[in-house]
Amino acid sequence: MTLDAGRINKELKEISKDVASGVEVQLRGSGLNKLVGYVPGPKDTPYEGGRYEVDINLDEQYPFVPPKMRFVTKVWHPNISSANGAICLDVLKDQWSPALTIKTALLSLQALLSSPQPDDPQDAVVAKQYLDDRKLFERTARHWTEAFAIPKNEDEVCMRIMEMGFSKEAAQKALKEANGDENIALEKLLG
Amino acid sequence: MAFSIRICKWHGVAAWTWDAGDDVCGICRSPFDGCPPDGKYPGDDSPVIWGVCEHAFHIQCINKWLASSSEQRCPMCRRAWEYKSGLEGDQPGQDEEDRREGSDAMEEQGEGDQEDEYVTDEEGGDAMDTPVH
Ligand SMILES: [Zn+2]
Ligand SMILES: [Zn+2]
Repeated sequence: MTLDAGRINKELKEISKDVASGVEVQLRGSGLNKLVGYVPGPKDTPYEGGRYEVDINLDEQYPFVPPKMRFVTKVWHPNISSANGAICLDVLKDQWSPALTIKTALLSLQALLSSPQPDDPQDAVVAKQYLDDRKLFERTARHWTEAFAIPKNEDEVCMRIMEMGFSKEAAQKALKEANGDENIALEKLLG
Repeated sequence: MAFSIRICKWHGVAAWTWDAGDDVCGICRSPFDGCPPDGKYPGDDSPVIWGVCEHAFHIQCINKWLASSSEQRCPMCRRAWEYKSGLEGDQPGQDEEDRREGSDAMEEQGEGDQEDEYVTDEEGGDAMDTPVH
């Protein structure tokens, strides 16, 4: 059995057309089995403004088995290992269905960032903090977001927006209005 | 009364079958009239199959999923997967056989009266289950 290139190519095409969802997927190299995804941190969470890199590996049996996903960007979250980015999420395990896609899996990760499930933790220390001291949890998570997930280099964000066909002036203006949040800036430009 | 109900059913299924041409299989995302990844030829080799939940897939695709998962669930709605029975003439094995006989008959026209008669009989049988539309 070999990788279903037809389906993966269709998925990549579909994701590249869909800017609104905010998630991105790119090939790591020449092979179709190694990809990198980006998930924007959801609004009104300690992860807001972050851009989370997710390592994606597709097994030859994909889509009959779930994609293997792991956070590369460090994140403080009960269901994500603070040490290695391993993810505890049912749709990436026994609740996977071949009707789901890389995009829906990334959107599920974004939903997981919004609603931690401390009863089914990946990182026991984080889960305990989440349950025992929510304020401290939120401060720690925010600190990690600012330290690891928010793009440092403003020019880099500006370049990415310019790559989508906007002028440097427009990109800088939108970013300023959005307080540097790439997704809000893009929404402004596209809306 | 019963007669008119059966006509409705027949039309519904027929419409579905043909409309499915623009649609894609939820597993491989290929069109139903195209090849699934393991199919060699579109059409006869990759029949479409329905579950009782009315979700359709290439037979190869759904079989591969059922073989690889411990829970036998529809990939689209997660209901327990059950093949839709062939009352309306869309039972997969029967469907495949009908189509093969149809194409054989076309290719081998005039090769023998016997086979033509057999095909005619089959069509007669179908017509009883599913009134002429
Ligand atoms: Zn299929
Ligand atoms: Zn279904």
